[in-house]
Formats: sequence, C-alpha cells, structure tokens
Amino acid sequence: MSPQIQLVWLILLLPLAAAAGITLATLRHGRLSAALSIGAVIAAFAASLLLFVGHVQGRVAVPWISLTDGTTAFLVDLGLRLDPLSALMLLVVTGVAGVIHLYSYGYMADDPGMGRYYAGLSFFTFAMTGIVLADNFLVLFIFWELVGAASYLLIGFWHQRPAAADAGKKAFLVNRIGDFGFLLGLLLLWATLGSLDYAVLESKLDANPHALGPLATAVGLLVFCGAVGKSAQFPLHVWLPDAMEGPTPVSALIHAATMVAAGVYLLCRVFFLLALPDSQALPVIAWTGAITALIAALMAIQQNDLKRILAYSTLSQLGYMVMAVGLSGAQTGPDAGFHHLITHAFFKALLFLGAGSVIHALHHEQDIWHMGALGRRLPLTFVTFLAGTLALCGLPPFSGFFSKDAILALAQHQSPPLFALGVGVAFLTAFYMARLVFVAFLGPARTQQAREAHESPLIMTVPLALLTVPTVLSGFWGLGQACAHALGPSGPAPTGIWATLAEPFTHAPLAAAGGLLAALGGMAVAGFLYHGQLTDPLPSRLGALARILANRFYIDEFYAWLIRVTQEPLARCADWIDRWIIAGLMVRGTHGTFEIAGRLLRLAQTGNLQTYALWFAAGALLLLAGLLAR
Amino acid sequence: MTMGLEAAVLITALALLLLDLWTPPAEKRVLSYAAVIAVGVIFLASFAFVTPGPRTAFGGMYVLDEYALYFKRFFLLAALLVLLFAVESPADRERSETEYSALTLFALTGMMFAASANDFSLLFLALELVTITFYVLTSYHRRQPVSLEAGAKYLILGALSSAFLVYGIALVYGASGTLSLPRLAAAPADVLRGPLFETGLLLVFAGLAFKLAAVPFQVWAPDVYQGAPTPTTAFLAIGSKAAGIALLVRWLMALLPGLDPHWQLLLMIVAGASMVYGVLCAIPQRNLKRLLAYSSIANAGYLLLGICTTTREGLAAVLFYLAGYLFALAAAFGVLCLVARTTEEEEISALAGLHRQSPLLAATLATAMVSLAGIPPLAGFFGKFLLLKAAVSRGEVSHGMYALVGIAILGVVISIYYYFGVIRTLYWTEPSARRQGCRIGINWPARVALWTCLAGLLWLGIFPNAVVNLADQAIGTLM
Amino acid sequence: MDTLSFIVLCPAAGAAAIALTPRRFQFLFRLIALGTTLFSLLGALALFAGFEPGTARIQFEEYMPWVDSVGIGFHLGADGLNLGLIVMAALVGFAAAAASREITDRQKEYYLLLLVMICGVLGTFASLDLFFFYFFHELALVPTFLMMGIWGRGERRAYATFKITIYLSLGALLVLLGLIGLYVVSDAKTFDVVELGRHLAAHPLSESAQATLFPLLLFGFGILVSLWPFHTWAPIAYDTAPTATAMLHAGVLKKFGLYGLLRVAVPMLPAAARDWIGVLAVLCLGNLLYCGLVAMRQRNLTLLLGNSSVAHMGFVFLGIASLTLVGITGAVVVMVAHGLLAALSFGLAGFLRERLGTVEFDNLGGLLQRMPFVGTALALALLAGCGLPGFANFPGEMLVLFGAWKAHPVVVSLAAWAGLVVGAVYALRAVRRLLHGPLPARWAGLTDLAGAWPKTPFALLLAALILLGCFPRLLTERIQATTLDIIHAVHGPSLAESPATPNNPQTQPLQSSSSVAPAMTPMLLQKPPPTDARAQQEDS
Repeated sequence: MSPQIQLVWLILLLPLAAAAGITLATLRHGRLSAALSIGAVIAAFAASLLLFVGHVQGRVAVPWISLTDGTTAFLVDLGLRLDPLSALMLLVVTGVAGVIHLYSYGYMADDPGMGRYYAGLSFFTFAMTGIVLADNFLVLFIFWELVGAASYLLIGFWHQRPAAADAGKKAFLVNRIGDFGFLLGLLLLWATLGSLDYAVLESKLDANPHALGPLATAVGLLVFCGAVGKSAQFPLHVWLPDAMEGPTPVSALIHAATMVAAGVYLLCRVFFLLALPDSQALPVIAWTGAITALIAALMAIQQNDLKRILAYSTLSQLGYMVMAVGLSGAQTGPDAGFHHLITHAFFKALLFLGAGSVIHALHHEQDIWHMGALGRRLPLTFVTFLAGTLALCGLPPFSGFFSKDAILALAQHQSPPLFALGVGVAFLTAFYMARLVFVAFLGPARTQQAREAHESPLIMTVPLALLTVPTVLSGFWGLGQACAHALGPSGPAPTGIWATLAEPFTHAPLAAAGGLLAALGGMAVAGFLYHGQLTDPLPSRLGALARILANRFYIDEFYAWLIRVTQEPLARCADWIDRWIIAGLMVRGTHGTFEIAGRLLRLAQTGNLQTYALWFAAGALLLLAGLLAR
Repeated sequence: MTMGLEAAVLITALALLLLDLWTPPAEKRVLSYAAVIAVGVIFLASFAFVTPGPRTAFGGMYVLDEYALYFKRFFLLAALLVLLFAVESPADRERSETEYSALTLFALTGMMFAASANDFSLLFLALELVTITFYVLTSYHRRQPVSLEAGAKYLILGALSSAFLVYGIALVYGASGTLSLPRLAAAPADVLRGPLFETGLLLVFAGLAFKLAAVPFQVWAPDVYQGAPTPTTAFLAIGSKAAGIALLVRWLMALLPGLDPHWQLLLMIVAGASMVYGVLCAIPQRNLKRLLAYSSIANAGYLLLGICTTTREGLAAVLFYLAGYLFALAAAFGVLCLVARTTEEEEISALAGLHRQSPLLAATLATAMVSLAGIPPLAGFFGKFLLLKAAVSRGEVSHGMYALVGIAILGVVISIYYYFGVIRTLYWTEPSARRQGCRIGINWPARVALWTCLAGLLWLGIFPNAVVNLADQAIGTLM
Repeated sequence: MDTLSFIVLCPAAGAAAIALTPRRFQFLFRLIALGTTLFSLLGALALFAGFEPGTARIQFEEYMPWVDSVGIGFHLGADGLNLGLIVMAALVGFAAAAASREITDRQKEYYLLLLVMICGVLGTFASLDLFFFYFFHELALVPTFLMMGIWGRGERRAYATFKITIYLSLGALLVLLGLIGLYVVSDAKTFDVVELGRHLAAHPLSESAQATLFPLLLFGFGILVSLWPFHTWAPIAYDTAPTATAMLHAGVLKKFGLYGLLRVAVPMLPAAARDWIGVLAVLCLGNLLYCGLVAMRQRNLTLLLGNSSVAHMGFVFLGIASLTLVGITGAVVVMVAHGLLAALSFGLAGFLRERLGTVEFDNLGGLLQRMPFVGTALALALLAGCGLPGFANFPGEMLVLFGAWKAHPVVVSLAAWAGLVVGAVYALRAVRRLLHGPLPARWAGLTDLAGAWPKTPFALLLAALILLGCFPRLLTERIQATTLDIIHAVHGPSLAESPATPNNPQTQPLQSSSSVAPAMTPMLLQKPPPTDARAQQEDS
C-alpha cells in the first residue's frame, strides 16, 4: 500500500477545514472566504488527480466505534477506500466542484452572504467526497446525511425567501424518508451478516451468495430506498424541482452533477449486494428508473422556468442511470449507468452554469418566454449551452451519445419494453431541450431585458469553457473503458478515435440508430413547433393533457393531501389525548378527588363539643369491640 | 440525685413564682430570661447524667434509664425553644410572663416524670400534671374567646380521656393486682391475655392516643391548636405528643413485647386512619395552625407506624423522628408567633411575601416545611427514611405493613402538596398592599431559637449518626 | 479531598459562601457561582483525563462511613456508567450558571439555590451508595421547585410548578420504596451499590421478590424521566422554569432515572429486567412516536423542545430494553449527548424568550437575519436533535437502534421512523417558523448576543456535542467494560465465554471487571482484525 494513499485524508479534510475556518473566522469577509474555499477544492482536485494518474489504491481507517462482547460485534471504522471506482468518481466530483467554486465567485460576487455560501459549498464538497470514499455502510450513511444537511443549507441559502426556506425543508424531509428505508436496510444487513463493511460483506457473500437468504431482496430494495431519496427517483422525486430555489451554481453542483448522482454511485458501489442470485431487487430498480425517466421527461415539456426544465431533465437522466444499473446483471457490471453518471455530471453542470449565466445576465429572470434571441447577446454562453444540449440529447460525437447508447444497448439486450421506453425518453429529451434552445436563445427577443442582456464576466464564462471540454471529448476519450475498468473486468478496448466513434454502431447498431433517430426526431418536432413562437402552442393543442403535465401530474398535491389525512390527524389526536385525557382527566382528576375527600372529611370537624365527645367515645368503643371480637 | 433533673425544673418553677411576687412589673421580663437560662443549664446538665444502669426511685415507680434520659432531654430542649419564643411575647398585658414560664415548667416537669414512669399510677400522675397545666396554658389569653373556647374544649375532652385512662388503670389493677410494669410483665400469661386486662390496656391506650392526637381521638387537636397561644400550641404539639409516645412505647414493650397480631392490627388501623385523616383534611386548610394540627395528626400516624413494627430499629426510628419533628414544629410555630405579633393574623395568606419582610423567618419556615415534607437534606427525611425502612423490613412478617407503607408514601406525596403551598405563599405570592414593606422585628432570644432549629434540622438531616445511635441505645434499654 | 468529592463539594462550598455573604455585595454572588462551577468543571475534566478506559473497575473511589448502624456510607466513585454523566453535569452546571445573566431579582437566593441544585446533580451521579444517590437527587429537587416558582415565567407557573413537584416526589418515593425494599430483601445490611451488587450476584433474589421490586423501580425512575404516560409534567415545566433550571433539569437531573435503571434496577434484578423489557420497549414508543407527534403540534419553541426532550428519552429506554452491549452503551451515549443538547437548546430558548418576551411561532420569523449566532446555534441544536451525524446524539441513537434490532425489530423500525422523519419534521418546522422567512417589522431592532463571554456557555456545549459526535470512542471505550458487566449480570457471563458465532469470527470475548481488566485495553486499541484482512485483499 503506497504512502500516497494518505492523501485521501487531505482530500476529505481540506474542504472541511475550509468550511470550519470560514465559519469561525472569515464569515464576514466574502472574498477571503471564497479564496479559502476555492483553494481547498482545487488542492483536493489536484490530489485526486495525482492519485488517479498514479493508480493509487488502498484503504485508510481510524476506528470510530468498536464494541464487542462474545457474540455480537459493532465495529465501525472511519474508513476511506480508494479503488478505481472511487478514484474516478473522486476526480469527477472534485473537478466539477472546483469549476463551480470558481464560477460562483462571479455569480455570488455581490451577495452579502458570500462567506456563508462558500462555507456551505466547502462543507458539501467534504460530505460528498466522504460518500465517494466511504468504505462501509455506516460511514456512508453519515456522509449521506451530511450532504443532505448541506443541500438543506444551500437550497435555503436565501432563507428570508419563504419559497427557498420551504424548498430546503422539503428536500431534507423527503430525503429523510428515503434514508429511513436505507437505515432499515443497514439494520437488517448488520443483524444477518454482522458487519457493515463493504469488503467484509463482499467476501462473505462471495463465500456464500445465499447468506442473506430470503432477505436478499428486502435488503437490496431497502438500500435502494436511500438512492431513491437522494437521486430523486419516483415516488420521492418531488423535492428536486423545488430545490431550484437555491443559487444556480448550487443547483449545478448539488442538484445536477454530484449529490443527486450519489444514489446511483451507491448502487454501483454495492452492486454485489443487489446482484445476489436470490435477489429480485434489480428488476424493481430498473422499472423505477424507467418510470422516473419517462414522467420526468413528460413533465419537462410543459415547464417554462429555465432551471426547472433542466431540473426535470436531471430527474429523467437519473432515471436512465438507475434503469441502467437495474438492467445490469452480475456478469455485466453497472458500468453503463456509471458512465452516464459521469458524462451527465459534465454536461448537466455545464447546462446549469449556462442557465446561471443567462439568469445573471437577465437579472434573475427565469421564464424562458421572457427571453429570446440570447444567442446573439451571449455568444459564448450560447455555444457552450448548445454543446451541453447536444450532449444531453445524445448526438455523436458528444459524450452523452456514448453513455446513453451504452444504456440503450443494454436495455435492448436485456428487456425490449425498457428499450422502447428508453428510446421514447430520448425523443422527449431532445424535444424539450430543443424547445428550450429555440425559445430562449433563438427566435425573437420577447422582453426589454432580453434585448439588453450582456455576456457574463470571464470568471463565469471560463468555467463554461472548461466544462465544455469533457462534455465534447470524454465520449471517445475512453471514459467508457475507464468506467468498465472501474467496475470490474473490461472487454477489449477499441483503439483509435474512429474506432471508438464507430464502436456503438458496430456493437449494437439498433440501439445506436434508435437513439440517434429519436434525438433527431425530437429536435425536428421541437424546431417545427417552436421556432419563432411568442407563446407556447402546445397547451392549445394538447388541452387538458398539457395542463396535467404542467402541473406535474398533481403528485405534489397528492402528497400534500396524503399528509393532511394521515400525519396531521395523528398528531392532532396525540396532542388532544395529551391535553385532555392524560394531563386533564387523569392528573387533574386525581388531584380533584383528593381535594374533595379532604373537604368532606373536614365536615367531621364541627367545632361542637358534644359531637367531639361522641366521636371520642364511639372511637373507643369501636376499638374495644375490635379488640375483644376474637 | 436520681430525680435531679425533675427537681431542678420544679424548683426553678416555684422560685419563679415566688420571685414574681417581689419583682416590680418593670423587671419581670428578667425572670422569664432567668427561666430560659435555667432550662438551658438543666438541659446541658442532663448530659452529665450518664447512667451505668437503670436507677429507680419511689420503689420502682420511677426509673431513670437511657430511654428516660433521651426523652427528658427532648422535653427540656422543647421547653427551651418554646420559652425562647415566648419571652417578651406580649401575650396579654395584665398577666405576667413569669406565670407563663412557670406553668410551662410545671408541664415540663410532668413530661419528664412521664418519661420515667415505670408504673401506671405514676403514668397517670405525670399525665395529669401535664394536662392540667395545659388547660391553663391553652386558655391563657382570657380576653380572646377563641383561646377560652379552646381551653374549654381541651379541658372537657381531656377530662374525658383522663376518665378513660383511670378507668383503664383500675381494670388493669383489678385483673392483675399490681400497677408496676415490671411486675405486670412478669405476670402469668392467662392474666395478661384476659379480656378484663386487655380492656384496661385498651382504655389506657385511648388515653394516650388522645395525647398523640391519633384517630379516633384526634378531634380536639385542630380547634385547640388554633385557639391556644402559639408557643403553647408548639409545646402541646411537641411535648404532650412526645409524652404520649414515651409512655406508650414503654408499656407496650413491657407488657406486649412482640405485640400479638390482634394488638398490632389495631395499632396499624389507628396509624393508617390517622395518616389518611390528617393528610386529607390538611389539603384545604387556609389557617397555618390548623394545618399544622392536621399534620400533627398525620405525624401521629407515622409515629404509630414505627411503633407497630415493635422492632428495635422501628422504635429507634420513632425516637429519631420525634427529634426531627421537634425542630420542625418549633421552627414553624416560632415563626408563626413572631409574624402574628406584627400582623395579628394566622392565616397562611398572612404570610404572603414574608420573604420580602424577613428573609430569615421565611427561610426558617420554608426549611421547617421541607423537613416536615420529608425531603433531604433535612431531619424529616432521615426520620421518614428510617421509619419506612423499619416498616418494610417488618413487612415480611406481617404483610399488612406493606399496605401501611403504601398509605404512608401516598400521604407524604399529598403532604408535599400543602407544605409546598405554604412555601409558595412565602416566596412568590405578593404581600397584601397593607403590609407592603413593613418589616418584622426579631428579638435575640427568638433569633437564637430560630438558628437553633435550622441548625438542628440540618444537623439531624446531614449527620444523623450521633442521634441515631443515641435513640438506638435508648430503645436498647427497653428490649 | 479527592477529585470526586472536590467536584461535588465545590458548588456546596459556593452555596455556603453565598449564604454567608451579606446582601449588599450583590456582584459577588454571580462571581462565586461561576467560580465554583468552573472549578468543578475543571475537576471533572481532570477526572475524564485521568480515567483509565477499558476497565469496569471503579476509579477515583472514596469512602467514608456515615451511619454504620444502617449501613450507609459516603461512597463516591466513577466508572463507565457515570463518568460521562459527571463530566456532562459539570459542564452543564457551569453553562447554566453562566447563562443566568437574565436574573436580577433576589440574586442571593437564586445563586444559592442554583449551586445547591448543581451540587445535588453532581452528587447523585457520583454516589455509589443508594442512600446518597437518592439523597442528592432530592437535594436538587427542592431548588428546582423554588426556582421555578420564584423566577419562573408564564401564567401557568403555579400549576406547572406543583405538577412537577408532585410528579417527581411520587416517582422519587416509589424509587425510595424500591431501594429500601432492595436493601431489606437482599438482607445485605448495606446501601453500598458495589457491595450490594456483589452480594446480589452471589445470592440473587427470588423471582417473586424481583417481580415486586422491579416495577417499583421501573415506574419510579420512569416517572422521573417522563416515561410515557407519566410525561405530561415535563413540557410545561420546562416552559415555565427559568433558563438555568430548565437546562439543569432537562439536561442532567432527569437522567437520574435512567442512570438508576442502569445502575440499580437492571443489574440487581436481572430476572425481572428480562421479563419487563417487552413492556419498556412498548412504552418507549409512547415517548418516541407519540411525543414526537405531540411536538409537531406545538406552536411554541419551549413546549416543542420540552416534548422533543421527552421523545428523546425514548431512545434511552429502547437502549435499556435491548439488554445488549451495543444498545446499553448507546443508551449511555444518548444520555450524555441529550444532556448537552437539552442544556444547549433550553439555554438558547431561554435567551430568546428573555430577549423577545415570546417564543410563539406566530409572532416570530426570520430571526436568523438579526441573530446569526443564536440562530445558527439553535438551528444546529435542532438538527442535532433530529439525529444529524457529527453531533453526539447520532452515534448514540445508532447504537441504540442497532443494539435493539434483534430484540424488538418492529419497535426499532418505528423508532427509526420517529427519529429520522418525525424528529426532522418538527425540528425543521421550528427552524422554518423561527429563523427562516421574512422578519416581522417589530423585530427589526433586534440584536444578537454580543461579545465572547455571553456566547461561551453555548459555544462550550456545542463544541462538546460536536467533539463527542465526531469521536464517540471517547465515550464508548470508557463505557463498554461497565456495560459488559451489566450484560453479564443480566444474561450471565456464559455469554461472553461462548465461542464467537460464524457470522463474525473476528470478534473475541472481552474481559470484564471480574477478570483482570487491564488485559482488555490493548485489545480495544488494536485495529479490529477485519481491517488487516481487507488490506491484503486491496493489495492483491
């Protein structure tokens, strides 16, 4: 084990140190705090690059809790594990985070809370790297909760805005519901296998794949619950769109590139647990992902808020990834999903930052129908945004194409219905993204602001450019191979760029062609419908359907109703019992009884001498009777 | 020299009366101080009386043993505190305080004899001496109808109880032909178990229960306590109750060691009834003296609880409990009579905001209440603790004890309610506008007494060892 | 004078000093209080530093005969069970004294009572003699009552004060009865916990005797810890009590009941304990779930905190009901953690109340804009309350859940729901209503805590929470040997000697105090075997 491995401590703790330092010392000095935080994340990125390039692997740990009596042991190390998977993920996380830290410097420049902002950002980076590096379930759970807290703080960054505060609360609570399932999974796992350590579990399950017995499915699904919450899969997807209330860079980092992907990462990380022979978890996972992908895409086509459109597309892409993991089997690792995770991290971060640049230029205007013709006003933003869009739609040679194609190929190979669904979603994706581009960037400028928009400062555009590079290139730069390698044995790698480009078509022509056609079709339809439009033509054409889509299938309303009819009455009833039955009837009742008894007994005290004498004599006789009556 | 203590007290009392004739009204107060000092000296002297073994007088009627000494000291201390509070209390002007002190000393003499009574006749004499003096002391405030009424009630009911007592004694004599406890103890069992004899004992018990204010002989207590001058009430509540206990324990141990189940059941019923009655009636009380009267009924119950155990630890607990009770009650009544001097009221509401007027008085009364409620670190707690411990350990033999303990526990909880009610009035009810800011003066004897009580309560609560051993030895001499 | 008696008697000395100081030296009272509590805090830290982990042996032992005829001795000592509690109590005591700035009326009485209370609180955990164990607890109760009555807030003051007094006295007397019963039935003629334990281990009580004594102790202690359904005194009491009292009682004094269960009831009446854990497990849901729901309905910060602190007790009960090493260790951790947490949150709530005059949600909002420090601290406290990692509650609650899972899976699931979801709901609701959102105009002029000194108590408590949250081993490795003894007392030592199950071959039996203790320390410190095994895999 090489000594460099100790670097992972640095990667983990630098951001934490930055966060702590800012909170305790420099909170009031925005730029200083920014410098601290950026420095930390850049250093972390450099370190992870070093480790990645050096193919450093291994594990470092300090014991966190170790309890053991004869029969049961609760041994949890604060253990970090660096293997191809975490190394790659670490690179992506710190890289994207670094870019976004930079970008925020421009975006948040004139916000009084800049210090607090960067503290939150650094804290998030710390927690996220923790998730990536964790080598056992409990440590993972710890960081899992911490990223939740970080996202709560950052969504509610502008806490004086009720909408933002509510959104943060919602996100945290919905995630907690997922974590509840997750925790139960951990409990089951520990109770049956006596450990929470990936390596220990893996070795045990290798030794005896049936160790979990009938519980296998349950454990798998419960663990998946965690992913459902974090990665906003149906039915717990409701928090992600609201999370857009946070500052745009936050949405880019947390709610597009990294945190929401943590669920998928978790699935890849513990795939050995899901792919057990007697576990039925994978199909469920696949379908959950597919459904999420579909409904999210459908919702997206009727949104008008720039960020929300992207949010729904995030949902739908996460659905893709989860589906991919669900479709992979024990022999084929979940590399397709992981591959898409990474490419998505790049281009979705790019898209959000682009959107941020637009919003910045339009003084926090987010409605695409108040934009238009931005292509000319914000050329660099437009170009980069376009690149991101094409990647998301899955056109070659953009990275998105390859990862999406891998998923479609997998689907085609594993289950036709999901393949069809995947293609359909690809079509929708292309449609709403094209709609977005046509309305916001092309066509006529619809407002004064749009006409007067100015390109954002360099500190914001440079990051866009930085992210464009992997968005375009990572596809045929052997990323797929890297992922495959990260997740176990990888097949022969095609050599040379052209070979890589052609590989999808030779390997699974139907999938590639389907995906490509769907994308092109979607764009075409969008262009036909939206080019030069001033208002959205769809509602008039689709009628009620459009309304349902615009209202996101009324799922939030349904949940609100559900809470109103279940939890609220419960709480009311408990409160009522507390007030009236326990505190009122029982306690006050007892007290009253004694009080009354006292008042009654006092009647004996007449103050009249004769009665007293009578009591006296009667008492004596009574005792006498009692004594002699034996 | 055997009866040196009693003699000393008696002589002091007589001397006071004589000197009173020649001292001009202006200096009479000196005499009451003299009385205080005399009692103090005698109390200290009592510790010089270390008896190698029990000594007797009057041909065995009178016995001086550790047990008797314990009670004599107890009575002396009680009298001392009472006199300290009584000094310079403007009882009513046209009667000298000297008389009051003298009478108190006579009562004290009676009590001290009672502590040593080893014979039913001396028992009767001693009690009568106590009771009759109290008739006078109770109605000492001639001008106040309450006081007179109290006196009358006490007189008549007291006479009634004495009647029971003497009748009982007669029956005992009739059945056994002797009145001396040792000889009775030696008498053959068939005599001791005869209905005549037992009836006699029961009537004696009734007479003593009257002194204890135990149900069903408790009715007099509230009215008399309320009517009598506060120092008198204190002495009545402490001394006369303790005298009853002293006698009861002595003859029970002599005649019914082990206490056959029937008697025990009877005692347990009386104990339980007293606790319940006292505690429940105290809840709605608004007058502090009545409240304390009911609490003294309840306390009679606790004392009897200890007596029912008839074990050494149980009886020792009773003795210790009395010591704590002495300080608590002395403190409470002392504060009350000091407050009453300025405010002429004895309602609890009259104490509202006392804390602002005199922190010392408030603190003392609060401490007394906490001790009565049986909460650490005060004497009352350790006493209750010992009692409960003794009762529980007796429970294995007679299960009724458990029920009694249950009642006791419940009683304590309820009593906390009304004792703390007093504390609340002291500390966070605002005083009525009339008494805003009027300060309450405390003369030095009262101050001494108050500090003595506080010290006693804390000392017995935190360092109980010495007194526990003392009580244990005292009981040891009866076993 | 040794460490422990120093810790316990410092406040007592302070109280005496205050009693003797004339009123006109107003300024001295607060100084004396701060000084003496600070001294006990330092003493407590020394205690923690000097405590040798990994052994169940009683350390820092002191003994002084008291009432030999009854078998009472002044016996102090620290082991895994009370070490954390003593340190926590000392810290909270200091914080409470420091947080008492709001008191201006009758300072002499106030600080006198406060110090007596702190002395009682410390003494009750340091005592290893049942009599003093009870004695000190009661000693702390009287000040609680008086302080609530005199300096309490709100129109329901009298009612709340009497309610808590009656409830706690009832509980305490039941406990007293149980303890006396234990003394009598065991026939060991001593109240000394250690000797009594040894005696009972040698000759255990009859099933029937245990069956009568255990409920007494369970419900007696239970009432003192607001075990459902005997909990209604707690919220309104903490709503009424002055800040420091609420901090001390909710934080520390309340733990007396739990400590008693672990110190006396469970190990000394093992058979009955085994029979009763089912009931306890069900009742703890009453705390966790039911009181959690009640807390959701509260519209007032202190009432919400009160209910949530009642709810948190459920975790400890659950841990006790697990009767496993992991669960009970977790319970002890939660006790310490919740002590710090409750002190922190009630301290902050008290400050807000004093500064704003109200903590009703409907009158407030957006406070974070005006009070960054207090707001952040409160938010952190609330997040810690809903079991956020990084705060001491998290490891404790996790241990409890994991420990209790095998015994009561259903209860644990519901408890997890209560802890993760219900807890989060009311915590975040409070944050949202109080700290977030727009700031009502009337609070525009509000100011935050200014200066380092006023912030100290809260900062200290927060720091302690985070420290223990990040390094729970500071507690667990000190606790576990003692917990193991309790487990052995309940299940019999056979459990430890039994061969490790195939599930986890790496675990080894652990010595307990009965066998040589030091041997265990290295075993604890060494890296658990799986680590090395894994390392090899990684390299290959």
